[in-house]
Amino acid sequence: MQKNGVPEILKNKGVSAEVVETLSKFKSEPAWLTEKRLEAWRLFEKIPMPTLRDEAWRYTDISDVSIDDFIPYVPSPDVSSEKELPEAVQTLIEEGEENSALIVQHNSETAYSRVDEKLSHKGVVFTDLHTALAEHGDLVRKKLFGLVPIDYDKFAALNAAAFSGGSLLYVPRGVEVEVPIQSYHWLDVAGSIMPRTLVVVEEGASVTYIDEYASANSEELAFSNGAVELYVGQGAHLRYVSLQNWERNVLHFNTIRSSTEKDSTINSLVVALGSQLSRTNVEAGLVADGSDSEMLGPYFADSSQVVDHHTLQDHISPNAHWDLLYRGALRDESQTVFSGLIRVEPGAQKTDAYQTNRNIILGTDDAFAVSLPNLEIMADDVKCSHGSTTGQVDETDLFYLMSRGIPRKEAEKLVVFGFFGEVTGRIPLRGLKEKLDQAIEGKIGLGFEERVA
Amino acid sequence: MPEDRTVQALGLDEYKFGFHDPEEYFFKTPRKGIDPEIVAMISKHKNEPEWMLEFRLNALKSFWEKPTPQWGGNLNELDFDEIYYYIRPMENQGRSWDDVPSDIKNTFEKLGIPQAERDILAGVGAQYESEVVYHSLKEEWEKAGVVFMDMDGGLREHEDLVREYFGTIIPPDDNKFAALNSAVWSGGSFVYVPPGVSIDIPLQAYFRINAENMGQFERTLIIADEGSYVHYIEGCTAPTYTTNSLHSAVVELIAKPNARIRYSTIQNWSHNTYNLVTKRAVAYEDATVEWVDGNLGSKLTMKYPAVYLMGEGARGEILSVAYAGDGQHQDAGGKIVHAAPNTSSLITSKSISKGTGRSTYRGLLKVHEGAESSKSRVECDALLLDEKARTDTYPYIEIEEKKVSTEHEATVSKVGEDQLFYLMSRGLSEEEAIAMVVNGFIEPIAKELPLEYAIELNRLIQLEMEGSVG
Amino acid sequence: MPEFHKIATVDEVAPGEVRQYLVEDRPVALCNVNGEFHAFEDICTHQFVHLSEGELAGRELKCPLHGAKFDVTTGKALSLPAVKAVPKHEVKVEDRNVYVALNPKRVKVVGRNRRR
Repeated sequence: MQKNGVPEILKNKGVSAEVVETLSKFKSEPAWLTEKRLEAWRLFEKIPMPTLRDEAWRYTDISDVSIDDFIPYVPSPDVSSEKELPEAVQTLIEEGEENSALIVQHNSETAYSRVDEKLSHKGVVFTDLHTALAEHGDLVRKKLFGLVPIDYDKFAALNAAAFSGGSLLYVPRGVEVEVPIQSYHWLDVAGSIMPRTLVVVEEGASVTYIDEYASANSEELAFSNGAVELYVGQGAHLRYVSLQNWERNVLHFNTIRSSTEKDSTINSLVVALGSQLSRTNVEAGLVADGSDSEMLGPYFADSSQVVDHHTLQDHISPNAHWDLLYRGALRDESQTVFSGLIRVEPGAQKTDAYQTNRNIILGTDDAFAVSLPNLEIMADDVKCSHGSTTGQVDETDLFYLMSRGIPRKEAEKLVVFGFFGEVTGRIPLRGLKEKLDQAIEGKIGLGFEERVA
Repeated sequence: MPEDRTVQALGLDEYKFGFHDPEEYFFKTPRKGIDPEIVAMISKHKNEPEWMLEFRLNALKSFWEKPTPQWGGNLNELDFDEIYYYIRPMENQGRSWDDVPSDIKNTFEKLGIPQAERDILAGVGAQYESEVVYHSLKEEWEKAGVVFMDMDGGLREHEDLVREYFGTIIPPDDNKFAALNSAVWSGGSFVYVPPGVSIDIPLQAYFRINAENMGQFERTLIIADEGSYVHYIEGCTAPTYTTNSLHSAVVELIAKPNARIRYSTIQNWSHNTYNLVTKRAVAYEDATVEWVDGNLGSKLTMKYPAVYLMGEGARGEILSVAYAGDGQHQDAGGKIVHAAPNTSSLITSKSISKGTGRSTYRGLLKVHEGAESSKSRVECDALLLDEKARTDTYPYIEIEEKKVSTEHEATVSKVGEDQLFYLMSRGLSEEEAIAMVVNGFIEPIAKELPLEYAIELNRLIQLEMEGSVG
Repeated sequence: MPEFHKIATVDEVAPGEVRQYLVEDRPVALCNVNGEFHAFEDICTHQFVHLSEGELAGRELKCPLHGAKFDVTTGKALSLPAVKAVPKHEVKVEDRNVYVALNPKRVKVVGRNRRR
């Protein structure tokens, strides 16, 4: 979307204060943001890279990851219609959920965006962050960095310093957006992409927002570092989907943090299928009273993929109801880490919080599943529980299918498909569910012609 | 940091000090704090072989090198320089109850060891100020080749056996407190059960801390040879003092093929004691190790009994109950490592937090590749009795083998209104009702304890509920 | 046939010493026990740390983290908390040079980078 050419310094690998300042000027940003970016950069330099000795990174080795290996900003051509988008992206859009608004980020720039008239009439704003800064500066200034602050961790500091593209979704009071809003992140160079998503759903409004991540196949390493901030107002409802299906050359880092006000509802679905290494922090912070939430997280790791989810449910006031279900499958030499903390602060009485993690290991014996369900409870009138199981395909399930004449290998695949069904069955979005089912089928190697019910 | 010096170079002599009523001491370390001289003095007084002195001195180095762990309870107020590390009472070990000095006998009376018990018990090792005073072993078991004595005696009389196993389950470098214990250990029990021998009556030991600024560093080593069975009970209590006491024990258990060891503890240290214990067992083919762990006292307990399932068919079970009252922090749990196929494990943890108490479950379940057809179940339940009470659960589940079945469940709740209402409508006071619910909550573990312990546990909880215990 | 890599001369590691060398991106511990050379993967099987940073006494190497002992001549874990043996590499000495052929088996321990 840029009129002028990309400054030279941004075309070289690595980030520096000069790069950050140049980027900010290039995007014609207000002074306050340039300042903030530089502050974030200084923090990034100060914070040491996490090692295996840090509790939050105990199982995930990132000692070989360095931002000096990546070009911080890669441009992409503007397109004026969906037909001009890269073929692969067009396919994704076709196969995806029907949408009422669309943004496509191609590498570091926003290639295309569209909002149905119906929505813009009602005051719904959906645009890339840079445009948002120009046209809705006050709103952005108030909310940006509010949920994923620049000092959240080293990766958040980097994103705050070097983000580009991204999106702002603003849904005004009482507006119900029935058809989902879709955002695609498409990467087709060996560089880095640092999108930042900001969603603000005002009182009584409701919307479904889908963030999808995909890339073109490549041998060279690429780096994705995102931050997502979700504000859900009183009595509002947000369904947020993060569908990560990068190719195997991508390192994916992402922090998704939400705040839910009184009596609001948030449903989050965080899917991890692709990338070489995926680390997502999903935090339901600032859970206010009466709020309700369901957090779903299906993941499937194969070959030598490493998939790491760190989730947090932080209850600060009473009467919230929270349910988390993360289910994963592993095969080959992959590794998955699930860390989930339910924290109930003093005074958050009548909290109902549940967390379940189930892991199923297929194929050879080199896979490694780690599950760390944690509880920190400081209020007594609560009901909290968590459960975690890890093992292979259930024998009884297998037996049942085999007794119906289905050969063992096929039966195994069906059981795994059913395993994920417990999560996908809860998704009311037809197009998305089908897409997911197909992706999972692909990973299992089902290859069935008919759809499995 | 003081230099290492050999015993000869130190040229230590015994010191005689004036004694305080009602306690009498034969020997007291000349100063608080720890250094190689003190370690060497301890070793010399016990007439230990050279290798043990070397072991102690190397462990001391390790202790100094390791930082104080920050991941568990708050240890930052623990001042290692303010503790005496060794006290030996006047009398030597007696042989029967009559030989025991009267004031020590009085202490046992206060602790409530029933007279009748003394007949039934196989042997009782009592630790009074770090040294085992009283010991009696029933003749028939001596004949069967069972060894049950204090650790010092074990080292003296069964040096080869001790040397083979001592520190192999918990090396001194394992953690800071194992290193400390390895440097200054004193007392504790040494048990050896020959192949095929089953000891029907539990072996017991009581400890007591009775001096201001006393540390307790007992070291226990239990070897159950093939096909044998032993149940060892450890229980302790300490009166309250204003400055902090430290209890840092090490317990190593070896269960050879087909053997079974059950180790039960009820800990009720006074509320100014730090109780930092490393307990670990190894279970070989078809062997079973059970830890039954009750944590009621202390200011801070950090204790995670562990079982390493090293042989096919081995089984590990950990039953843990923790009660955290005002100002207490029970940081306990269990660790199980499956390193062989067809192994099974069960961890049941029940905790209660009252007032401003905090109970934490910290556990590890690790299944190595190759531990096929292993099964594991972990269940942690926490009961919160007051608004300011706190509970945490931090399990680490690491699975490297797919042909296994592992389950972990944890719940947190309070005493149900309906339950209380029902009990109170039957004439119980609120405290009595709560005590009853709590007793019901811990019943699955209490029933695994010998009756008198179960009763003591219930009684103690009752007292805690009524607020009449500190 | 595993490939032999020349990693050091016989003088570099004296009796009683242990040193780390990188072979094909893998850390290899080479130690000298009374003139005999032994090599194995330089990662403790209990928790990720380099064994070569520990103490070698005779044929026993003590891990610097928690004190687990390994027999360097067989790779076997001699004490807890280590449970698994560390993979041994084939060693040959020719013309005062030490050659090592890597064992395809790798230490599986928490945190080991699987992407490499």
